[in-house]
Amino acid sequence: MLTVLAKLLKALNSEQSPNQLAMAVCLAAILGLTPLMSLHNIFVVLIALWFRVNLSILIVSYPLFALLGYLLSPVFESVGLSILQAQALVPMWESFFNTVIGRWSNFYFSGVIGSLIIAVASGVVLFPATRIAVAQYRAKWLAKFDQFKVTRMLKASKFWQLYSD
Amino acid sequence: MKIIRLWGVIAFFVLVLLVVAAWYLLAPSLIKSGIEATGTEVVGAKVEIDEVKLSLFPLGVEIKQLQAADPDSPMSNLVEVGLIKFAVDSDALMWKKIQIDELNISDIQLGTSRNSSGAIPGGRATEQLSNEIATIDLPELSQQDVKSMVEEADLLTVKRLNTLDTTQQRLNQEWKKALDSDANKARVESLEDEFKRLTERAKDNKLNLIADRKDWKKLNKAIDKERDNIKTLNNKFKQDKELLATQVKAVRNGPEDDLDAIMNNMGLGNGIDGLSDRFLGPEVTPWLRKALDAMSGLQAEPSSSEEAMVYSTDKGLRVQFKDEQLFPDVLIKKVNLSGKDQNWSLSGDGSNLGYFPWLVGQPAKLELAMSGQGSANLSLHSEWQNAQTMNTKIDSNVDQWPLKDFQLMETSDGAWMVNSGQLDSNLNGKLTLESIDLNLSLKLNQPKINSPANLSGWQETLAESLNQQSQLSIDVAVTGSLQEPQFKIRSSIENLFKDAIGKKLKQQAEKLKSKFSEEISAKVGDLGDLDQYTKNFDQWKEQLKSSDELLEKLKVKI
Repeated sequence: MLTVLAKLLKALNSEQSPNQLAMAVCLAAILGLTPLMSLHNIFVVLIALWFRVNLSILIVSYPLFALLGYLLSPVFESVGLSILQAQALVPMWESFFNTVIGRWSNFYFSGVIGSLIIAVASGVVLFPATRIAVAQYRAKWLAKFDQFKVTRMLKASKFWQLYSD
Repeated sequence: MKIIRLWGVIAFFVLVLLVVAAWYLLAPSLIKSGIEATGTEVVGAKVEIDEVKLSLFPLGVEIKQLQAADPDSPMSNLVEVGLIKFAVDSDALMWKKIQIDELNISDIQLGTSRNSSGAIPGGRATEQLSNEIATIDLPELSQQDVKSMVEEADLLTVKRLNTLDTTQQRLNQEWKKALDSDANKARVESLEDEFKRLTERAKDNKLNLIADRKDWKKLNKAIDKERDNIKTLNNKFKQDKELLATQVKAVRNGPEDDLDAIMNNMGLGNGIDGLSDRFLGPEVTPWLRKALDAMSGLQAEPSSSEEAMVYSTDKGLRVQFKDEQLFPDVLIKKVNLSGKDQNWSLSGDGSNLGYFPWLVGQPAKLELAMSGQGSANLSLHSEWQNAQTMNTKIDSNVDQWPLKDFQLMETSDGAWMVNSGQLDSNLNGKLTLESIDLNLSLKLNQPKINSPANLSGWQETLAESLNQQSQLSIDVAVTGSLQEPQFKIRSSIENLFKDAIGKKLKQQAEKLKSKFSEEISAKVGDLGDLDQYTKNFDQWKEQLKSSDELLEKLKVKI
């Protein structure tokens, strides 16, 4: 728990841009909300590693989104089924299904497409929201937060030392 | 600040490489454990594989020494296969489809011994369920609580008596109203008075006949009307009498019908025949149950329609879009089987075995031949014109095949095993998605049957009779549909069964029947005085008759 908190605080207090942190949250949302062993998640990992996305935030956020994904799976199924069966979209899905990538994407499973659509939609909201939250935290709360006993204890601990190296 | 992280790209490719390498190293053990787990659940005993080899170019799989233990005899194998070898078409695999050009299954052996037991602790879940279904006992007739059974029974006699009471009350009211004696008498008397008056006037002066002609006509009409009324009542009388007589008859037959219903509920409705059907039925006969399970697995997939089909899978709901890659998800173009033992040799081949079968485009064929001390052949030809039209023909026969350790049936006391004997069998027929027409004939010559230990009574007699037979025969006709197959079984075992339990069962059933009769009589009361329900009819008939006769006399005089 302390390790997780230390990672989080370290990332928030670092000089990394809020965009990097917000992107990490968005990618974690996709990784966590959708089934991990899916083709699209290879691209998510590629983006996370290729671009300077904050990996600590991604690793910390992933389990939270995974838990949320587990709880919301019936919703994903239902949304996915509606999308796959929408008359206007059927020709598109049919063409996509008949491509090699389409076949391996598993998008014809309602849970996969439903969770991906919701994850991407949440990402659109999460990105600016996280950016604003990080900026607000750094501007208003960082100094106050440093005064907290817990923060001071944490900063003095070996975990903090480990992550500040 | 650079937005690209070079080490990240390298890390990604290293990660991908590691995953591929891990897959290649782990795939054989994953395939092995997958086949073992699925096979174990299907067979109901351990399925084990010595080694799985995977080659990448071309993509091929080699499975060595597959053993499937016999669930009925865990220290021996049902089947042992030395080598299963096949190559998978990588082009088809790109489309997530498995296409095997040639599947070779060689060194097949049956009934080989095992070093360790192949039993699954606790058995598979489905087997446990069917064992529960299979446990039947003959009803302990002497221990039935007749009184409470009759008390709880919804007796037909009581219901019919209630109906009879209601009908009689209704008819009493109706007839009382129709034959209201005062009103009736008054009407007839007024007609009689009018007749007397007019007659007197005619006697006084003959010309009054002309003067009173209108009154005579009126009187005539009134008499006709009254007689019509009596005629209508006579018709109603007939109908009501028939109704009441039918109901009285139903009440009289009530105790017999109640008795039949109670005996039916106890499984004695068809007497011993009913019990033997239950005893030899598919729910308790393992090989029939297995056939039934196999047939229920042949359910057709949902039919195609304008809308994309939705399947429930372990990954959730899958929407099946129109597949332009028109070949089945799994296709074995050719399969070769071979194997031999000290006593027999097997050879077989098949072609175009695929799933979904209607996408194969060509009929699936499977031919198997075994020879040794006896001979056995199986020929299966299945043609799917489309998802809704299937036509499968099965033709199989077995001649003089030595049989041992074969489970014939199972009762609560344990399994009845055929220790030795020679089997002649014939299975042929047709299967479509709408109907089944299969006939199985089994003849077991010189059977030696090992019955469960500590049998007593009729079961002991049955066991002795079975071992004295030179031939046991069972004929099974399967009709109906795949969803609801219907089995008709005729067996010589049935006669032995009847002989074994018949006498005792008949005596007990007779005793029980008389007890039931007594209890039913006590509950419904005395039915000897049912004639009282129809006694009013004589009185009503007399009343109608006397009025009609009087009116007829008047009419004649007029």
